[in-house]
Formats: sequence, C-alpha cells, structure tokens
Amino acid sequence: MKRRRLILKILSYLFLTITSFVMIYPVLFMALGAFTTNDRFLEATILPIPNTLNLRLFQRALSAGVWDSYVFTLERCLFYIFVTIVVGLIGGYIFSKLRFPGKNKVFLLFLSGMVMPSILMLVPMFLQMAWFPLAGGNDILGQGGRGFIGDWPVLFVYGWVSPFAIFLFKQSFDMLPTEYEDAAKMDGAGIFTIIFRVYGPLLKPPIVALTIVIFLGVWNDYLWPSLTIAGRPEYYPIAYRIQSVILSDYSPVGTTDYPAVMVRTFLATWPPAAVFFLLQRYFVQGLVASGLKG
Amino acid sequence: MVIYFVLTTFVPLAFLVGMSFTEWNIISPPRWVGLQNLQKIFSDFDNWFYLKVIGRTVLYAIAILTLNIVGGFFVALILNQSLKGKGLFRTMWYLPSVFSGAVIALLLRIYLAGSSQGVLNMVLNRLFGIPPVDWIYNPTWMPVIGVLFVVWQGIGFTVIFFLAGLQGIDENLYDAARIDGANDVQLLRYITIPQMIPVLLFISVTGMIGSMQMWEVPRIITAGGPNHMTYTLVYSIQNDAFGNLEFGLGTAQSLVMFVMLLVFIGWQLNQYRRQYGV
Repeated sequence: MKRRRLILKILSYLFLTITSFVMIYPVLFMALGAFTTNDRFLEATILPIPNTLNLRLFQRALSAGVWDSYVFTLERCLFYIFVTIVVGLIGGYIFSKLRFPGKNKVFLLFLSGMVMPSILMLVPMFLQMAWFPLAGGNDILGQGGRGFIGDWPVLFVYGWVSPFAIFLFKQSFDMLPTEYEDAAKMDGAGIFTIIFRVYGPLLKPPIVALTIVIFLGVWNDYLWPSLTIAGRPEYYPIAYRIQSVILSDYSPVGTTDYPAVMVRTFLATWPPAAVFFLLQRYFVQGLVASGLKG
Repeated sequence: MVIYFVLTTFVPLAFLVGMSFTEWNIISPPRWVGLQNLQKIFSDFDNWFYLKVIGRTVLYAIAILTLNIVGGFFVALILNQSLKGKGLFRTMWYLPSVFSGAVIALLLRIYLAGSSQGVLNMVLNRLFGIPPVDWIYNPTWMPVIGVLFVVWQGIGFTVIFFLAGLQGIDENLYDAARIDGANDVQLLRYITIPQMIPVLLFISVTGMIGSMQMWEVPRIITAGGPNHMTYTLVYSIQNDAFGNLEFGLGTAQSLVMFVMLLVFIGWQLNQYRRQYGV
C-alpha cells in the first residue's frame, strides 16, 4: 500500500512536470528567444539559449509606437479599474445591505448580463457608437457623421457597470456584519463614507482580485479596438499595435528576424504575466469566492 | 447605474434583434427583409454554407469543452494531493490564460510558418527528423491546432475551479467511506464526482459560452482557411458584418448563436436539476 502511494506520487510529479512544461512552452520559447541573436535562435533544438541582451531591438520596438501604446493602454486600464471598482462597490452595497421593493429582480437583470457573450454585441455596439448623437459630425438624431468611430471615447464608453464586479462585491458585503455601518451612522457618516471608508478597507481581497481581472481584460483587449479605432495609431492599445509592429519584421517564406519579433511579443506579454505572478494569491481567492457561491 | 446598464447592454441587444431582419450595408439606409437573413442561414445557399459554419463551430466547441473538462478535472485531481511545489505547477497551468489571445495567435502564426525555418518545423525536424509541414494550409492539422489553442488558453481556469471545488469537499466523507472499505475508484465515483456537480455545472455553462467563440485562429492566422476548415461562426459574423458590409446577415448569425447558447444553458440547468436536484 505504501509503495503504491509512492509510485503514484512519482508518477504525479512526472506528469505535472511534463505537462506544465508543455503549457508554458510556446511562451517560454518566445521569452528566451527575445534574448538571442538570430543565428543562435535558429540553432534551437528544444529551446533557444539566451546569449545577448540586444537593447537596440527593444529601443527600436519601443520607438515604433509601442511606448505610446504602453502609456495609452495603461491609462485605459487605470480608468477601467477605477470606474468598475467604484461602481461595483456601490452596486454590491445596494444589493447586499439596502432593502427596497424589486431588489431581486433588478439584481437578476444585472446577472443576465453575465450570460450575454460580449462578442455578439460587437456589431450593435459599433452602430451605437457610429450613431452617437452630436459626436463626430452627427446631428441630434445620430445621423450624418461617423459618431465616435475612430475616436478615443469609443474605447472608454462601455463596460463601466460590470455584472461580475457587482456580483463579487455583493457576495463580499454579505459576509460583513451590518454593525460596522451602524456605528458609523451614529457618527453621522454618509452612504459613500460607509461604502468606501468603513467597508472599503475590509474588502481588499475582492478589490485586488478584480483589479487583476480588469487589468488583464483591458490590457489584452484586441477585438473591439481593431473594429473601431483602426487608422488612428495614437489610440492603438498594445495588443492591437503589436500586430502591425510584429508583422513588419515577419515573412512566412523568406528569412524572419526572429529576435526582433520575439522582443516585440515579449514587450506586449510581460506585464500581464508580471501582474499575475505578483498578485496571484488574491486572484485565485477572489475568482473562486465569486464562482463557487454562485 | 440601471439606466447605463440598460443603454449599454439591452439597447444593443434590441438593435441586434431588429437588425437581423434587415438588409443593410451602413451606407444606404437599412431595408426590412423579414426572415430573409435567417432563411439564408438555414438554407442550401452556397452549398449549405452557413449550416456548415454552425455545425463546424458546434463540433469544435464540443471537442474544446470535453478536453477542457476531462483534462482539467484530471489535472485538478492530481494537484489535489499533498505535493511540494503544487503552487508552481498550478501557476504554470494557469499562465496561458493571462495572455491576449490575439497576441499569442500572432506568435503561433509565426511558429507555424511552413518553411524549414518555421519554428515548429525547425524543432520537430531536429527532435524527430520530421520534414517541414505547411501547417497553416493543412486542412487536417489547422482545425486541431485551433481547438488545442482554445483549450490551452482556457484550461487553467477550469483547473483552478475544480481544485477549489475539490478542496471544499468535507474530508469526513472520505474517512467514513474508507472505514466502510471503499477503494480509491469508489471514493471518486461516489463522493468526489457527486460533490463536484455544482462546479461542473458552472464550468460547463461558462465553458460552452467560451468554446463557441473561437475567433483568434481564423481572424489572425488562417482567414478561415484552409478549405474553410477554421471558418467559425464568430469569424463569419465579423466577416459578413465588417468585411462584406452585410450587417443584417451578420447580426442574424449573432442572433442564431445567442439562441443556441440560451437553449444549451437551459438544457444543462434542466438536466442537472432533474438528476441531482441542484
């Protein structure tokens, strides 16, 4: 019996080591390839072995618009993190602590938003933006111009109210006793003080979890920008920018400057990986807390 | 908040339904055509083109979901033992999910290049002496790669949820069963799996929504090819709406997909309710 356990354990380790390697293999290949010369890259058997830190490649990539996209994408991430969390906290508080008729129905309305795949909403959202009244040469009925299409607001208008955030915060508020706010109310605290000052500090885990989820979502956003902001490079988010930047050095038949390509991919992918590594404890907690009680 | 939510979620949904019954190229005003778009989708138009797109998408989604759930459950079972370095393995399994599918698809496109200098060809040749394959134009391999790509990106999520579910199971249940002489297989069959039903339900619903949405591979790597083998429904919607400027036809397909998902979710919920009383 004991021997069987031991064999099982060894097999588990073996399985996990091999499969984990396979899982990260494509990304690891790219990350290592970013620090090689082209000749060394082409010698790779299983993985390329780094032999250089070619700062020129990083510099060239950053000056080709990647830096601008960094700044712009980061601004967009911060905007969405702030708005989604503030709205989520208020919504979570309302649905958890307040009592009013029809509360459950309104909550269900929000939840129904979670099953609607946003990918199907792209076309109608595009039109909503194109028809936005008084924007981009449109008249008051939203006709005549191009609306917000090709302009920066298109990347900031949607998604302020996240059903996921509201749901996550409602669950978290449910677990906190109401005595906290009763004491604060006696001292004359208003509703916003109660939400952000009294409960806010107690809700650090879901707030951090949500920060990661939003950061990853916005940083990786490609589809919506690719449809609405094409032709305005100053507003290209990183995931969209990197495409044209990468393909400029890639040729499917001839010789590709692989390290240059890998450096660019690396520049687009290290921030989500870093954020995930640093904050993953919270991430797993928050994600699981939200899903399992649902 | 409610008004904003209705404006940004339900108004577009209403748009979507309304536009499905029009023919519209965004330049001239929309023209009401009734059920013509839906008829086109469900008819032998262009040699059953759209029905094939739907069938293909569902087939891939089933493959993705099955691999995701079976593989994810297996890995979670293994990770649920007391092993050193468990956290690291879990992180590595989840890592692919944090990257942008579009960026990784682009990387994949470069890896899959058909020449002998393509990265995959290079590695396979050195390791196993396999001659270069033109992956992207290979109608057998490309759909397989597409399915594996989606599984690769999504399975970490499944593993984390299954793992959390497994850790939530009361140890006493196992102890009691062991005293009664149950073996490992029986423990799995009669305790672990029944206890995991809520998580399984959650994963199969969210997983199905995700699995139906394969778009990175056709959009970034193959343009739907070769022989339309990776021409999925979501790609078809985008292609018809933004590529061919047939917004009515595009939204009609969105509507079909939406209804399919609702039916699937309803069926799943019903199934579980009947069998397990969740």
